[in-house]
Amino acid sequence: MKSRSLLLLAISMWAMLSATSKAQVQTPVVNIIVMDGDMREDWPDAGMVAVRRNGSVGDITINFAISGTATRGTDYTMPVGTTLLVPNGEREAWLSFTPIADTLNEPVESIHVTLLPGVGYTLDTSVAKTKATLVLGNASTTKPGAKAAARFLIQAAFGPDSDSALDTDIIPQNVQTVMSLGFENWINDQFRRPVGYHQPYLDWMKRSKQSVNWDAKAVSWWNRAMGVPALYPGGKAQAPDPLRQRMAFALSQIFVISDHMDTLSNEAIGMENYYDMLLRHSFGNFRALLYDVATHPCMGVYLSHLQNRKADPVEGTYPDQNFAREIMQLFTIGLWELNADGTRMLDGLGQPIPTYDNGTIAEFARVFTGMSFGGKARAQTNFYYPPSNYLVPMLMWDEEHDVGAKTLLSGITLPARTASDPDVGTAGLLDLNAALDCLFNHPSTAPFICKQLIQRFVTSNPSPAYVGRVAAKFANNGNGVRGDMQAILKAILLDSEARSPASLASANFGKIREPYLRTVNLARAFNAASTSGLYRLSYLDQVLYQQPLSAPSVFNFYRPGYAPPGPINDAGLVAPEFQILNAISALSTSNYYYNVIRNDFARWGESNAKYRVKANVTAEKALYNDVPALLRRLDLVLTGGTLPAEQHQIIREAIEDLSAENYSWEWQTERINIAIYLISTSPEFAVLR
Amino acid sequence: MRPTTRRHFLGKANCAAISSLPILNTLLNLKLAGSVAGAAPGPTDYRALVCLFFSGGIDSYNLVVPRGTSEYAQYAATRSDLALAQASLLPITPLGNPGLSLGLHPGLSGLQTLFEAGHAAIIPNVGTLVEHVTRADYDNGTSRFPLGLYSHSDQTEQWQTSTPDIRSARGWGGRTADLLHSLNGNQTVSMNISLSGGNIWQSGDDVYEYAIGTNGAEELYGYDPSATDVWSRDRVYTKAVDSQLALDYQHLLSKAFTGKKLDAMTTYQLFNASTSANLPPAAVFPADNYVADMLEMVAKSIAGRTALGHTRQTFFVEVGGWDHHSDLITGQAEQLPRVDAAVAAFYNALTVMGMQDQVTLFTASDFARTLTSNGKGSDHAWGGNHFVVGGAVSGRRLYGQYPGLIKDGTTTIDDRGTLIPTTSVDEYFAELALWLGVPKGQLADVLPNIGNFYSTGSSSNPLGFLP
Repeated sequence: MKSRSLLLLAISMWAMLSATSKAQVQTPVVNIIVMDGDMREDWPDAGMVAVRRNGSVGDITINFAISGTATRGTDYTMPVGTTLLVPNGEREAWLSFTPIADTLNEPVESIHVTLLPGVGYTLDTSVAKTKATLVLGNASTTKPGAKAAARFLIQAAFGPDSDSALDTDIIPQNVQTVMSLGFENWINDQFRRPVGYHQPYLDWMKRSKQSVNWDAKAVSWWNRAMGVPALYPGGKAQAPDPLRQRMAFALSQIFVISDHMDTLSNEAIGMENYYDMLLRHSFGNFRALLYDVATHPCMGVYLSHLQNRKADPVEGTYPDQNFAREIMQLFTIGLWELNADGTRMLDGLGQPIPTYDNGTIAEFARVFTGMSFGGKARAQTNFYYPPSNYLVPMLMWDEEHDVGAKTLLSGITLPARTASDPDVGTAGLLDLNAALDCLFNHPSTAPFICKQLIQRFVTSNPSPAYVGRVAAKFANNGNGVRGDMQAILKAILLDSEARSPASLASANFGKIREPYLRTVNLARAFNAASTSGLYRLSYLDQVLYQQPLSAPSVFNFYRPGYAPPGPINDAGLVAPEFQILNAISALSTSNYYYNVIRNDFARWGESNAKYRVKANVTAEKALYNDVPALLRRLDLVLTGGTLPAEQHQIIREAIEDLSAENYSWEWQTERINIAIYLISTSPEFAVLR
Repeated sequence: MRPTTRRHFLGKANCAAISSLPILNTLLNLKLAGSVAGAAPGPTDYRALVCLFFSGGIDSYNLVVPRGTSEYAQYAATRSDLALAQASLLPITPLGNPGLSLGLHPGLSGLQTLFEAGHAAIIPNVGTLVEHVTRADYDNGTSRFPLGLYSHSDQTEQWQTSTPDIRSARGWGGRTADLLHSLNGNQTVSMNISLSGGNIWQSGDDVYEYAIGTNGAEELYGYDPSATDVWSRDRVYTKAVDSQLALDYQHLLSKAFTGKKLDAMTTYQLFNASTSANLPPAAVFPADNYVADMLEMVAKSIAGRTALGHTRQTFFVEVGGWDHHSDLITGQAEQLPRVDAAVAAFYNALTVMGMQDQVTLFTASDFARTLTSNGKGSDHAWGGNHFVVGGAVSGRRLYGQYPGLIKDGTTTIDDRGTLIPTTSVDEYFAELALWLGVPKGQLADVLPNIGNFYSTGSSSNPLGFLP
């Protein structure tokens, strides 16, 4: 209440400062605008109109009439009566229309609000400005509405795209695709699309004699995220695969490798090979993914099990425990025994139960011995001095693998094995696969992984029941298969908790959108592109504190259990992405967007014209003088139509303040700039609900 | 869920708005404690702690190494290919440890000088402990051990919380600030300043970190409350941003997101105005050294203390890259001189500013590493050696026991040379917290387990390296 009245005070003071004396003596003129005219029976987001007057002095009561094919009280609810009070100090008042779901199969209905003459005001001379129309769509179990579809794309893809300026509606094409396919068929269609690999871009650079540095990774990542058909000039065009790209990005934040390590920074192609491996398994099986993670040379370098040797009593050396620890703590079972719904199991004293101890780590460390660079026939290489090849899985050498008996978890023991002779690594691979099976089948793995995936796509605080439903699909996809990633993804995205509009009313459902993904949404919302067709956008971690394959440590940019001090922690909730929100990033992201809209998407601006990634705001510029229409368009594409009336008013009045009279220099362009800036830096854009 | 504290009951969510009641109580307590203990600083004496956190788990048995013939031989045998050459060690001559001959890593010449001059001390074999434990306790499963020993995330957390028996997002620096921040006349800028973003150490119930970069605080483009001209674009931006931030968000994430932004904006102006002045010319920091860049900004923040209205500050400076499962020897040889030069320059800057007695820097890390090698480097272990630097430090001494560097015995947990800490982080941090001004009677509020190691009724300090 307090902040609201401060706002009113600020607005009224501004109004008093700017109002001319003639406005104070004249009778106020009123008009009506639509802030949000798109309603659906199955989506609780209300339709909103604003009735506005010039000036803000004195109470006035404005008469209106409601008409249209939709029936008040049956198809929708709204405040009683046919008058609206605009109180003293306010420049406008709002009417909201909440749809009522029914089982009738109705055509699209309309609501007309018509302002009527009354005491103490006059109506706008333009009849069009005294009438507002909202549409109310029928509920559909198969065809979602535009807002529901936009929200789904923010969860499952990179958000809505820019709608063509030629289009008569404001609904982006990719939103319309979801509306016509429905959620599940959209997912099925994604499953069928070809894999949008990243490494071919770097291979092309190498073929065309360009130097391939760490920052090339950003280009392929962005090209794929933006859905560019051909990855590189002259490359083969293919359909974009946003769901797979999102899944790989989520997996890259669980199975972390990072170019913060110098060795990997110098192996950009190898790191892309790793990322492509994540893409390949994104719709595959978790067990196969785990094997390729464990044997990829980039992971071998990052968690140092490459050239990890069995214990050497003479030298006094022991197996490296790094990978053994993190594959358990981070990649599979986690620190605590979990129930099937992701809650912690408790012992008789009510204490959580550790999944493993240091002895377990020592045993697993012995499993992950004997691997070195692959890529050559064994006769041409050896364990100690192999040519480094970051593009093929590591090779197992029994001679450096600890073939002794091992005790793993869940009562599983591995027998002492005989090293192959000649050495073909069979004993080591038997151990490796048995250990991966042990972790894959551990009861904690399904809820541990599934909860983190839910956090990446939908909400930071899923209910145990939601985690349980997804984990059940991990355990069995319905056909007896464990670890089916397609079943897991569908369970995450189609779950009632993810889809139910009731979540929109919750004060804590949802998540802070990852700053990197928010930025992609901003770029896609305006078809940002460079004339070269490429996106040279590295160093964004300096403002966003996030960048693919560039986490500060194996613990990713943020931990799944991070709770910021204050109300979130007090409520017993977590908000992982808050871990990278501090006094710098809280402003540096806004500053970056400030520049992005005016200039281009590069961190410090791009000097080479053909690489300048610029937002295309042609369609928006056409609306510079129809501010309500401009805002409706931006609201849908950036926030899925969730901006509240208060934000509409603040942003609309800021836009109108930049007028030919007040701010003559390129005021039309500045109107677009401030509109995008104020929405893209708002909590409605930052928070996915 | 965390129990509601008194201040939360009063409805204060951040340090920008603090009721006067706790201030009164804390001042009262401080005066009381001051009269009893005598050593506690007065409310107006400036003091600051700088936490230099080596993330990744620094192999600190190659930072402080025995030089004596038999001790070195044992060190070399245990560490095998990880042992530094005896002749390369930089000799130090600690007082009060007859017969103990030690050397520092060859990359630590600055610390060698500071130590020998009495401005630095070493806390050997310090680590996370719930209570003192033995090998037998470990083998028999008796006694209470820290949760998640050897795990980066857990041990990083516990070195910052000092509560290894529970998982918590509150650090002892944050709890210290909850008690002491009211000594600062101006609450706009948090007394806990971080050069390394959000961290647990500086997170309290009321106070949390204020993050700055090596160039100071971040400003918001286009935001200028003094812009009033009708044609000013900044005027329009400023009004709209202010209105957005004044909205009352019901959604917890939106509320917290907005709160973070608002905090950052209200703080920026004062912070940058207070800290933008150049340091005196003699306060030279090495170039191309990001650790030095951070410590230089710390020095500027100390120089700006009066303008900030600060009489107490803490600083968090994180330096990563110490998880040397491989490349231990080459990695440390490259990284340590950078840190060493930065710390030496920082102490010099403090001296130039005349602030060396009022600022104490201490090191911390996830854990130390196994004494034994994995063939390329060392793995996660437990107790390790740390440094305190400052004019107030009773330097050129070791506080605690430098252990025998064996790989398997009653002082280790296993056969890999995982040393059981003989000094707890509680004792280490209690000394620092008391020096900063936490009254002895409230020490347990900051370090809940301190009673397991130290009686707050004792007339002497926990370790004795600070007055």
